[in-house]
Amino acid sequence: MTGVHDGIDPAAKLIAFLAAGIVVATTPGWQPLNLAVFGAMTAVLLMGFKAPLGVVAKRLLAVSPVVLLSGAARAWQAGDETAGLAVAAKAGIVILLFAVLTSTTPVSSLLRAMRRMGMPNAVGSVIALMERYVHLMGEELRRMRRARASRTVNAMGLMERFHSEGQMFGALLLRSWNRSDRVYQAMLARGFTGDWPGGSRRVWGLREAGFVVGMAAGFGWARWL
Amino acid sequence: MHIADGIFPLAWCGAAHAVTYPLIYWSGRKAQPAEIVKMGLLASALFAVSLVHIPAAGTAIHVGLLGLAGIVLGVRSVAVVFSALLLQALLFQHGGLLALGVNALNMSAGALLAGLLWRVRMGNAAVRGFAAGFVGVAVPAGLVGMEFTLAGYGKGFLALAGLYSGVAVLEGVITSVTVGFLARTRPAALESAFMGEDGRDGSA
Repeated sequence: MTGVHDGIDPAAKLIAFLAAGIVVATTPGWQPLNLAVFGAMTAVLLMGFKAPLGVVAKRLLAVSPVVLLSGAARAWQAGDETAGLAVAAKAGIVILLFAVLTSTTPVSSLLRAMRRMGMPNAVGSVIALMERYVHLMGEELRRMRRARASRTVNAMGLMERFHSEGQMFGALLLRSWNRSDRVYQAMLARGFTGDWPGGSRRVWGLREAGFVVGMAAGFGWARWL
Repeated sequence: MHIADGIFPLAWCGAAHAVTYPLIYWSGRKAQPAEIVKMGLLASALFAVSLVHIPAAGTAIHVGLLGLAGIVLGVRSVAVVFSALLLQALLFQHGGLLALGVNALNMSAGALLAGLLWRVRMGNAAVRGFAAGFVGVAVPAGLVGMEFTLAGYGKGFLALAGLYSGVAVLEGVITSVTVGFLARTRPAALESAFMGEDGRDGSA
């Protein structure tokens, strides 16, 4: 699906969304008008970016218990329901903003952008490997659990189950340990020198600069309405 | 235990980011390429395990294995924990990007303390494994509870953190079994392979 953001450097998108998130998060207290404008602007971004609504809704739903609990606790503590509403609304808008960004920009592009922006090499490399191998490890663990289920006739008690899971996790760690040696040899053969490529630095054009300035100015304007 | 964006004051989030980055550099210093690949693969395995739900007492728990990460990865666990949290924030929105520093500090504290407890040779491997698994959950939960209290959300979150002690016991049991298995099959995995003092790869 194409959206207005197509072709914009992911680094510019990341900076623009971070700036917007910071503006929303630093808005003091319960200011319904400002929060409504933030919400409307986020909705415009959601539509403009053509974010998959199902994915965004699922992500919002997953974090909603933490947000609602925090809002309720703040309202209870302050003896003022608007204090709780402010926390829940601001958190909800910031989460929605980042949900729009991460559901419309490939994680690998965002990671490459972060790498270019100075993310430590160890972190960039570990994430790149995780992105590649986490599904593989997950599938391996599922296979091991299926094999156990097919060999276990009697239902296991709690401690038996924990013992079995612990051994299985150990076996998975060992497999990943052994696999890492093979992966490293294969990477060496392909010219790996220890540095993970972050991609070439892109020169920002008018679109990137306009997007960052526009987002920051738009949310800044809404903050000081 | 993953704090979302907009919950804590931005100044806290900024300060936590400022503390986290030097910690990450310290954690990943002198890491050899072979070691980084090992960190990536072990992190993938730990991440995959953390997505598993284990039926227990009519409900299901999911393990974080921060204690095991501390045992196996030592000081390198900070870089690995940060990487896993960043990936979770990007993929599932579990924990915010602005709050990433706070989350990383909370979780890393548990992993580092677990690694330290493991390396203090008191008691047998099963006991040390249990202690490491326990603090891997209890320390982050306690820190999160304390932070919510200090941020003005009331003491209820401290009580909620107390509920995590049950999960911490279960995680202690699992970690104890896992290190027992590793001690029997691949003791090298439990040695101080990732302490990083001299940047050596401890896979030998």
